[in-house]
Amino acid sequence: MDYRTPLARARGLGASHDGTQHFIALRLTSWLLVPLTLWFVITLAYLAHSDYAQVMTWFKQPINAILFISFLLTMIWHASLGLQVIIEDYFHSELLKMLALMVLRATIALFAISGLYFIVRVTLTGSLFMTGAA
Amino acid sequence: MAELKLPANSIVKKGKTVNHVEGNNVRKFSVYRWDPDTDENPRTDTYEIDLDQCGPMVLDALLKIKNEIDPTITFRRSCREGICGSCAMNINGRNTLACTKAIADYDGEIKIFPLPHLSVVKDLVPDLTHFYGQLASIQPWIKTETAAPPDRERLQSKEARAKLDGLYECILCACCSTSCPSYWWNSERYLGPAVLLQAHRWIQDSRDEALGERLDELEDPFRLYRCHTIMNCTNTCPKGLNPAKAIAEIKQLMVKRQL
Repeated sequence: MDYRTPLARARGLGASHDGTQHFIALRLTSWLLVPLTLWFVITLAYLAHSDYAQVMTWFKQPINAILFISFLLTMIWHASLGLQVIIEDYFHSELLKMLALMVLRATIALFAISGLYFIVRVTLTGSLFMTGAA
Repeated sequence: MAELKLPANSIVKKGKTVNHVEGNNVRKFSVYRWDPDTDENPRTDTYEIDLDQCGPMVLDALLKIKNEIDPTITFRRSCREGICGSCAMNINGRNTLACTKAIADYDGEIKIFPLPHLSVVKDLVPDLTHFYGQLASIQPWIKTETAAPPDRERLQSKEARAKLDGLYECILCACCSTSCPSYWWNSERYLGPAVLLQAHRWIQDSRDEALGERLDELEDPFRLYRCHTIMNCTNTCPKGLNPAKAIAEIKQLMVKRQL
């Protein structure tokens, strides 16, 4: 039996004074993704019939590498913010919610780090593979 | 996880047809029934009403059922003119006020359920205790430190007063909050559109001196930011208000004070 008053129940643990930065970041990344996704789609179309060497040469150019890193990180950040909202919406066990958020953060970090690693690798060595034709 | 299936004892079963009426203008009303004093599941009972012998609104039909056919049917009603908010219920899948909704607006059988996703007290009466607790938590009254002028009321310009239009008309019927999926999943912590609209009514009041405190109390991933602009609230409001816009304006103020 819950003998708290309705007011005590509604107040709960109080306001966490958080959420606005998340709100701003979600909107900011979605706006940034409009031109970046456009650039990425055009790039894919442009490279559709290229061979491996041509693709590597394209991504070796600093402007393309920088845009690709921007696209990748913005997308991953945006996805992380959005998935966090979904987890908070639907996970009602505090323990499961915390675990899910940790798995999300870890997965997102892994994606970001490996993405960055391969883009830097391509720009520095011109190859995706360790033993490739660098 | 969110519960997508009803518990076994909440599944609504088909009830009985209570009465039968002959006539050219007979309409069927299928009404949710649940009695806490029995162990039975909720059911939908069907009543037939000759509309030539009944008032024009859905509430008139419910009153006719209670007065003439089945006195056990339980629902809230008071003003019968859309100002008290008591008779908010789900009629043919949409939350609205039974007293301002005309029977003629619907074709065929009319299905009446209590407001969604609240505990049911009996039949069409939902438990609004937590909803009222949440309303109290936003302190819906003017808060000032400066004393009012001794010889007159606190002044407000016509422009400042106009900002309360679309907010002060809310009658707290809870149609919007109980139509909101985000409120369904997280009503324990999310304040919901009705209470946020009320909060905005005081945020917008030029005579209030607690704007910052009010925003502080709302700034929370659950209290405010569970609103995902689903817009069911605005769609369903029987008073034609726009809670989604009020919430968006609160979010704008949150951003504004950070920049």
